[in-house]
Amino acid sequence: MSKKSTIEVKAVDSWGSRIGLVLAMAGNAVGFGNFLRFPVQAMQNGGGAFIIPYLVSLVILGVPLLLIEWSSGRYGGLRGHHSTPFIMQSLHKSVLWRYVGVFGIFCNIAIASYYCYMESWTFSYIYYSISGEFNGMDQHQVANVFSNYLDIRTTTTGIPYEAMVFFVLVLALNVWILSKGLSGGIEKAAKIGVPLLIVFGIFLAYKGITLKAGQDGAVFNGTMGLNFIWQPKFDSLTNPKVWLAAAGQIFFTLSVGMGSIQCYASYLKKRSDVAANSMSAGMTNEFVEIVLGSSILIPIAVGYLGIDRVVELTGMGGLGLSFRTMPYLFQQWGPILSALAGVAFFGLLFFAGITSSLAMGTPVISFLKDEFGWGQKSAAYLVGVIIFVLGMPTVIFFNYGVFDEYDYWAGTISLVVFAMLESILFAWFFGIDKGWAEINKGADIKLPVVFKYLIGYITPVILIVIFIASLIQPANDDWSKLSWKGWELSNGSIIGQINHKGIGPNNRWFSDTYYSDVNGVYDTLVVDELGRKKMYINSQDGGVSVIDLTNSGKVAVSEGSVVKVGDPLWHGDVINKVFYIDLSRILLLSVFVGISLMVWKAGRNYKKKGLEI
Amino acid sequence: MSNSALILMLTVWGLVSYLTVKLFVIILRKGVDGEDES
Repeated sequence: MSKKSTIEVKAVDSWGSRIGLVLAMAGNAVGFGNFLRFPVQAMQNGGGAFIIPYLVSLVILGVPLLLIEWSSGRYGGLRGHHSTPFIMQSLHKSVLWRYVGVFGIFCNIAIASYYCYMESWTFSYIYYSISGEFNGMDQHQVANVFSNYLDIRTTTTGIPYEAMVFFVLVLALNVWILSKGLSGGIEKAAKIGVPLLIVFGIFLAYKGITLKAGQDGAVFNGTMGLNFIWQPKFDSLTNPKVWLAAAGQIFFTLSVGMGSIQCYASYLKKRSDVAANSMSAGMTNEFVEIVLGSSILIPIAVGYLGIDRVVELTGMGGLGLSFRTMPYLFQQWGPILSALAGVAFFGLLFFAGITSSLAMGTPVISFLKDEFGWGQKSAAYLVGVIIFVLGMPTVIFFNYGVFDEYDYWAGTISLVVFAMLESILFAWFFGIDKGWAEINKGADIKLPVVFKYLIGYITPVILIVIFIASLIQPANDDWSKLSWKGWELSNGSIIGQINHKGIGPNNRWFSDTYYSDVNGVYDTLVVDELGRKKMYINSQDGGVSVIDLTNSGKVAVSEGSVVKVGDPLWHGDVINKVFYIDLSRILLLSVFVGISLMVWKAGRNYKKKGLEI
Repeated sequence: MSNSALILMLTVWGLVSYLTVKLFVIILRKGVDGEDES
């Protein structure tokens, strides 16, 4: 016979103070994306006009998802559950929701494995800034430091395998803070990290906005960059691509669809406010993103490099611009100020990163504690080991697409799928009336009733549309090509990704020949000091394609000859990128299946004990 | 900066800053240590 009560109440961790909770939640949301992704997205999607779909997405997507995740977290927490599999099942008895909740553990652990690696880049760049590593370097040399850093065989500081060393150091710091628990670790880190990153951000934003042409080697005013971000191009509002980009940015920036918010909120008490706390954490994130995020990277870069060059450099996102270019630009401010700016810039990224990765570690720890009786410390250590094992492929095979695969499947698609399903659960299965009452329980502010209807009817539908759009996204984001007769899919669409669309002629795991995947002219083969061979092809579109080759083999074309897609370039043992891509997918899938099995085992334990979830 | 960019930027910055501060004030008034007290 089943017992009506939920699982036995164990001594659970809790938040020490309300301000600590809000800062931890804000720290969870504030991440690299606030400083590196937002300004680039705004630049590429209509400038100031981007803010309109962005704010609309915040209201119809971001705020409803924050309210859903905070309130369902508190609801599950009061029933003894602190991770999404059982939080979700506490909302509706169907066992299916338990397995949907696996996403809430999977996303965190998979994202943390490459996020901690990115965090370690910022950590090492703080060290480089203090030690004056970039002093006297030209722009090309500064850019090379990052390229070399990503190749684990090279070293800038003399520390062998320094990328790995910094990764382990940062991971150890994360584990140490996590092992101290919520109030003793995460909350303290947030109380230090969030205010510090805001102070660093204000300092850099001031420098960015006040940058004057002719001062410190600047060619243009920093406000020219601000103008470029904020100049509204209203015709872009009719482009679905811009709306999808805005919705995507809201997702990434608020850290919704991951399961970490539910986990943090599950440690709230019965009458704790959800409405004001969630809005406060969300708005702090928006302040950091919209006010500080738009005033640093682009204004400083445009001040020195001009708009055309910055557009070119941000073609692949803000990451390259930050690590390859910013240290060089800071050099123009003199030795002391450049060191300060380097520490402030990479320091703010580091604090933004660590407060997010701590939130990613918590759901796994809570799951192990709740369902398998683990202690805080041992669970934190295990999280460290899992992140290390899962993160090493991104460190070692970064240049082979492993990092991008993790980011696409765990950091992009899984978030959309999970957010869509959790909003359907909350609105249509748990019930919007019950859900709205849950949101308003203990509320310190009166939420406009329009959010009830948004959560109940609009948000789930929009998320379904976003998911379908991600599935069938047309090539070049040209939505006018959609037709009943079919259309060419984008390489980045889910179906395109599954089919390896755009992978080119090197589509087998192993081969004895490497084929050209561009039309162009074979330039030269360069062998560096470590014996690494790189083949350079000047492609027809004006770019340069660089191919890393194995040591054994020979070139199949002569220098200066014209090559077409599919022409053999190299005869020798070839392990193609698709091998590493598939291996990453198998690894991620194994993690998902592994967590599902653990959830199944935990479910059986409830059944054996005759407990209801 | 052009007038349209400046007006848009300052309006959005003002709105976001106002809401952030206002929500923090509400939390501070209701008790920053609310979690401990409940």
